[in-house]
Amino acid sequence: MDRWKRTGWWILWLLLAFVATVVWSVTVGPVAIDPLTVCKILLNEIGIPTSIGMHSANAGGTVLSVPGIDLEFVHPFSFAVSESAQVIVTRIRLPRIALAAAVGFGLATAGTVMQGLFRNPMADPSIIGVSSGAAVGAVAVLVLPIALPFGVPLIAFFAAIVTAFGVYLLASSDGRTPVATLLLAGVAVQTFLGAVVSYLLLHAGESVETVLHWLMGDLAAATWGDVGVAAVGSGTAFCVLVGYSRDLNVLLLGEEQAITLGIDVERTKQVLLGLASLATAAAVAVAGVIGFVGLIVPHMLRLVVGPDHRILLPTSALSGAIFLVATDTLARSGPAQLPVGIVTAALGAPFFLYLLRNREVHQL
Amino acid sequence: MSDPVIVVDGVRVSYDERTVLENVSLTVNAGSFVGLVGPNGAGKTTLLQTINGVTTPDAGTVTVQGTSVQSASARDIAQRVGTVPQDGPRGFSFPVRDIVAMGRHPHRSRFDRSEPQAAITRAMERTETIALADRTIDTLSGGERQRVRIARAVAQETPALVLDEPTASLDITHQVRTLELVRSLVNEGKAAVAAIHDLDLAARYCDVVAVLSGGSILDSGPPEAVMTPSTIETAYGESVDVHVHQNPVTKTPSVTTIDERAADLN
Repeated sequence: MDRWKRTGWWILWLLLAFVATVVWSVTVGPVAIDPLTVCKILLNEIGIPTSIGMHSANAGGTVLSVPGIDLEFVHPFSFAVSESAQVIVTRIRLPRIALAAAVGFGLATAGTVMQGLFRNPMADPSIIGVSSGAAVGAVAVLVLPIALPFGVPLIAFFAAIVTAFGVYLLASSDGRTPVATLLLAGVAVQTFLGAVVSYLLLHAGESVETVLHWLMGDLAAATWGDVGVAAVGSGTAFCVLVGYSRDLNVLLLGEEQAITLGIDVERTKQVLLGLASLATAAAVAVAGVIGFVGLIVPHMLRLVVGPDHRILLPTSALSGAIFLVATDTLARSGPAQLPVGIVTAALGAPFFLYLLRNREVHQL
Repeated sequence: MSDPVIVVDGVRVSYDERTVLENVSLTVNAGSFVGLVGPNGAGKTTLLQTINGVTTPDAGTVTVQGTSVQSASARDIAQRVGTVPQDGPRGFSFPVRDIVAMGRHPHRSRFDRSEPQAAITRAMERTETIALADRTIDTLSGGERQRVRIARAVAQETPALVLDEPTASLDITHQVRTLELVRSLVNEGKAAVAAIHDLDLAARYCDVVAVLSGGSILDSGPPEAVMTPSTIETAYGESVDVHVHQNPVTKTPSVTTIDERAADLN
């Protein structure tokens, strides 16, 4: 009982911190908007779904179109705010903030699971090559003179999933997939795909800047569609992974002990790798390669809340969202807009070194 | 209380070309404590792994309470066989109570959010780990960690218990305390099988001693019948000179070995 209370409090505080971070983030930008106005606009945007239908447009409310499904909302608040501020917030700043939140949430979820599964502090969401696969897919679309009927995110997503699956197959034999082999196969495949990306970069020509921005992770071009992809990917993975929290705890004892405690280790590994890769692929496909979020956020939270995944997973995911919203706000607040990947790495690497000096990374 | 709980029948295990176990059969009854003795590399750990489902035999069958270990799910096996492993990774800081609670894992559904406190507390009281409940596992001594691993297996509340070198690296007090605990669990009706290096301890606490050598069972039976100089010499190699006498305190066989080559040098 005690732990549920503790988990509940942590989630509550982190949600409050998240809301505060979002409000602060919305105020930052070329046009200054005061926090009070931001709160009014955000409250205006709150919608309570009243009905779910298949393409049933209703004149009364705003309609959010998830492919095939329409949700109708009733908006309980209607504060008077200037229209320009409303447009800046809802059309420009909010999609980017929401994307940062969804991507940070997904990457931190995936990172937590990978570190637990690999029992290795260096494990990150792309440890089995998801990001490298996505990078090859995305860069190929951007560089190669071929016209495709679908955009970068879709190709990146599928390239990521195919890579993860390929690494898994490469590391498996006789129905077993030792995590050490998986890790080494992942490193080798990442190196190989890195070479492919470098080669493609040589031929990037005019698109080189677009490619670089993608490779560094950039949320500048965020659309509500991107937000949907990242949110559905991370959200689905998270919800199922929460059900595997206890299995992740038991797996920390080592695979042999996990078997004797009733865990079907190989099948559990497939589920965990699949879901973590899904969350990562969805995040990377729409946001580019954003490093360090999935590596340092889980470590940070493990130091604060301990190794129990029942509390670590939700707090880590929420903190990932907060972290990426905050770093992306810093990235766009300077005179030159930086890709967020540069900021997360610039802040993340020193922090990681601090952890290393304190030897805490040895205690997964 | 002589129903067979663990039945190993004609088991063969090989890794690549190397055969680790060959035609091994062993029965452990309810209320019986079987000690596996034998030299390093004889296959003791592998045999235990065929019972708890970690290793699948290439031939032969293993059943626990009539359930085939090869075809049952890990969860089904873990509901029947509790395992006390050798010291494993501990690079994490779970509190002892959470570690013991993991023993309940095979009995709980994925959506079970309640805490089976009764079974956990019972297991910790039984193993005298209740005072350690809120300490984290990485702050304990080797002997304390061993008791926590036993507590976890006790919390599993299984009819069969498998212990891999439960007395290794423990001091003499902890060795005796550990085996007394296993003995009392067995007296309540559990079937236990343990790999034990110390022949005297095996003779003192086990009902049946099985001597494993080169992947086969050389002999098994009551300690007095099995622990003869010839059997032990065959198992451990001819270069040792074995003397068996009765321990005046415990009245169980005690083995003294003298390396003949060293004796010759004297």
